[in-house]
Amino acid sequence: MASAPENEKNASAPEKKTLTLKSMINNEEFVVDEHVALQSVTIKNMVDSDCAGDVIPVPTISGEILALVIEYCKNHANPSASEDDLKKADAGIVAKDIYTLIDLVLAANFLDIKGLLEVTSQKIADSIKDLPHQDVREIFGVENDYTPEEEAAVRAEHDWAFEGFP
Amino acid sequence: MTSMSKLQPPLKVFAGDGEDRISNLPDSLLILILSLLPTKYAFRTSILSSRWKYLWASVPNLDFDEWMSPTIILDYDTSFMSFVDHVLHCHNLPSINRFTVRGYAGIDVSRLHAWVRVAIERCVREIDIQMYPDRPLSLPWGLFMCKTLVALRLISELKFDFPSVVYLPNLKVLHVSVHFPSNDLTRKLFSSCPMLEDLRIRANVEHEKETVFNVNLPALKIFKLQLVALLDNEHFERGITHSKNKVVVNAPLLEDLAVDDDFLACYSLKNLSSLVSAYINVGHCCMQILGMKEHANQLFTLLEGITSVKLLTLDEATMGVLDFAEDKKLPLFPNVTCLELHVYNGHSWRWLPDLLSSVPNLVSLDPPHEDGDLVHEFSWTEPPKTPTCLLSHLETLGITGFKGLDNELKLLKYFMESGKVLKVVRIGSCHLTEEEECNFLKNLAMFHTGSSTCKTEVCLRRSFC
Repeated sequence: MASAPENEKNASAPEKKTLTLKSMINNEEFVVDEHVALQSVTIKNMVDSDCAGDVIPVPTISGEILALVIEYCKNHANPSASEDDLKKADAGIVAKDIYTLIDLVLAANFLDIKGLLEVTSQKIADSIKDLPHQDVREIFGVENDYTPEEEAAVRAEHDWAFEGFP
Repeated sequence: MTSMSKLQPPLKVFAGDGEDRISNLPDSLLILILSLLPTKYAFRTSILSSRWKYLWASVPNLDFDEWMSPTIILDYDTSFMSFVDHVLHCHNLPSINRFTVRGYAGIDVSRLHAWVRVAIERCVREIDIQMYPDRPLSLPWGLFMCKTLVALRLISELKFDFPSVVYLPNLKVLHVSVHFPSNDLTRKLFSSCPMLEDLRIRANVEHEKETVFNVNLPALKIFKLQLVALLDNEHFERGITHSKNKVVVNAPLLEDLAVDDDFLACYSLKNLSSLVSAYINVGHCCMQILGMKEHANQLFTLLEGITSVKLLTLDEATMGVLDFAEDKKLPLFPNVTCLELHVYNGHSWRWLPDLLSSVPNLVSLDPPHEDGDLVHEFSWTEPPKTPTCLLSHLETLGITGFKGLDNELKLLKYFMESGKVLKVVRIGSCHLTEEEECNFLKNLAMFHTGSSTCKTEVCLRRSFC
């Protein structure tokens, strides 16, 4: 961690280091404190292995989603935030439509941010729980390859699980 | 070595085009999402397509909740049981993280045992079982030798059907409910779990029989004990004698202690130097006992064991027992910063001055009055010497259940005058009429406050009278 040129820099006031994250989808850039960005294991690995340049390009994640991810990381990097505060803030971040949530879960997975992955997955699980299967198919882009008979057979196999199912 | 060029995006995902982007969600993410659903809901996704038919079978958590059904269908238990059988048959992970069953008492015990055995074979880490209505439940003996088990939560009552050897080397969480436990059971169970961090026991106990709870656990952080008296009229007619139960605790890492004991057992608490919070509610059923004084003094032994605590709650029964106790010196609680007291049904505040003197570093005091049918015997007398905490530490005072009685006003006046560093006084009440409220506010405005920074917040609601 401590290389020679860095020592010189650190000799004066401890300067806050920042990283720039750039969405490769719409080229939006975000300047973020390093300790905030390091909550992403993926970014941390890059920084640790000296692979991070001045600008870290983030493929596949739009600026809109990256902004949410950064908001999450900022909240969780704040040492004075209480558990309650964090819960409320998390609930605010995942109060989004299902398609945004799916982009967000992919981003959390790619950037390897465990807490965000969990809270987003839970929100998706809660959102799809009571939906008719046609809607779930649409959300997950599933092509139904069952014949009507096969579908009926799957359903009939365990009444208990499908009881009350729309 | 990771480099940007090697960081391949997992998917081609672009916002806007509904279909393809999501069909590409990797199985690992879909399984993660499914594992957060009760198994019934995860299983339902088998109807989506052939790719999804067995996706649910890779979830690490299995959660069967029979109560979740909107209606009770014929042969209900049978179809639920066949469903669990089927899921366990199809489940294709070598290990199960958490296995949960909440069901009605119609579930066949032999099948429940078979499920638990499958879970044990699959290196289960956590087991939660709850039956309704509650009934004593036996569990397969193999469970008591399960090396992978980290958490066992049995909301249902556990039958004493134990193997002669119990060894749960990795168990950290044990929540269990037992009916008139034998000393053998408690000894065997607690001494076989060296890693236990969170122990919650609810036990029905008799007062005439000696039951010993010997909790000697070096890693224990949370201990919640509820001892429930099952009393009928006959007991009351014969009169209740002193409780012979004993609770021995030696837990150097214990942080959170809650004792809710209908009788007042004999407590021996040792090595509780890490204690952060303690909730004490003891002796609810032994207020009537003749010779209460001697019995009530057992409370001091309990309090002497928890003097390291920082946050202390003495609930109504404890304050009642204290009222019966001899005038004996309370131990000093040098670390208590937050004290919550509940006084109910005619018991008095006569111990309040002593309590204040024993908490010199108190920052926040919450003494809510509770509603009671009996007239409140206030019995508050001003201590001759102002307690240290009022002079230098007490910043927050909260009083709820305020009835506007003269005595209460006297107490409030005393606190506001003597509290030299008070910052906030919160008063809550729903007992006052409009006129009483008006008088109260007038009185309050006339109180001299000992602290120049003291803010008073009053919340009066008449609608809940």
